[in-house]
Amino acid sequence: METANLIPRSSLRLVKILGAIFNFVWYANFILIPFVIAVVGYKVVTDGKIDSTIAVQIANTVDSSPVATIIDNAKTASATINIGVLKIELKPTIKHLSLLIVQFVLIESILILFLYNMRKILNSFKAQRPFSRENTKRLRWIGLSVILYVPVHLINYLFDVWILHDSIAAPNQIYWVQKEIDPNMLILGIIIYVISSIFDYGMVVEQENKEFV
Amino acid sequence: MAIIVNLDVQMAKRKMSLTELAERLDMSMTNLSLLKNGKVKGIRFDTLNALCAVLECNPGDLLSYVPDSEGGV
Repeated sequence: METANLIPRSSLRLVKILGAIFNFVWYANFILIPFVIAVVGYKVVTDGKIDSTIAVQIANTVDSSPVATIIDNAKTASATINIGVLKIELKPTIKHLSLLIVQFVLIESILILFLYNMRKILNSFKAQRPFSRENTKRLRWIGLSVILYVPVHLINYLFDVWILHDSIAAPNQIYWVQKEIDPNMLILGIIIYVISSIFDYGMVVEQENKEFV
Repeated sequence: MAIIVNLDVQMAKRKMSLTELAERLDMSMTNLSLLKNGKVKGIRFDTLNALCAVLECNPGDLLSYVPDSEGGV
């Protein structure tokens, strides 16, 4: 079937740029994985510590400073510092190393799942074959990877809470681990999943229509 | 499938070629060939109507039911 003009040239240029970006991220990710493992492994072996960074909310507001550059439209303005980053150097126990590995594997799995399917979809656009059942399946996997982002961040949040309670006595009097759970990602993932299901149904109807004369 | 398309029989009776039938039906040779060889899942009433009109026959002359050896539906 002749599909040369299926995607306009201007859109194809955008697809090519996006394809190049996703290809770069895809290959950079695979180069960075062994690099990160080597750096962390080296630090654990030589220094005998793991650096852990946890985004926290400070229970008692530290400061409330007036904003000097206030203009006439506002009556008063002051900045309150109640969020921060807690840097903890952990002794590398089996438990900490396991947590680190599980976090890393979960995040990388989602990233690889997302990037793999995005690249495949963009490649099919470049080949002028965007409407296929494979692409609807890939779109479904992208939706799932976006949905999975939420539970993975929830697991990371629980790991951070665990590390905080394991490292600091009575931490809740001073810090709370900042929640990074984003319901927007869940909604976005569900929308992508539903759209992929609609496309899939459309493909089935089209296929059935083709088999009728 | 248990439904057999007897298009070739009716075409032979009328001494009509596939090309001529395709032209008169305003249908592609590919689709007509698929229909003749029973490679389609279904036929639209529009197509059946046009076929009956051109070949001067009834739908029953074009289609016949032969049960499968397994006896399934």
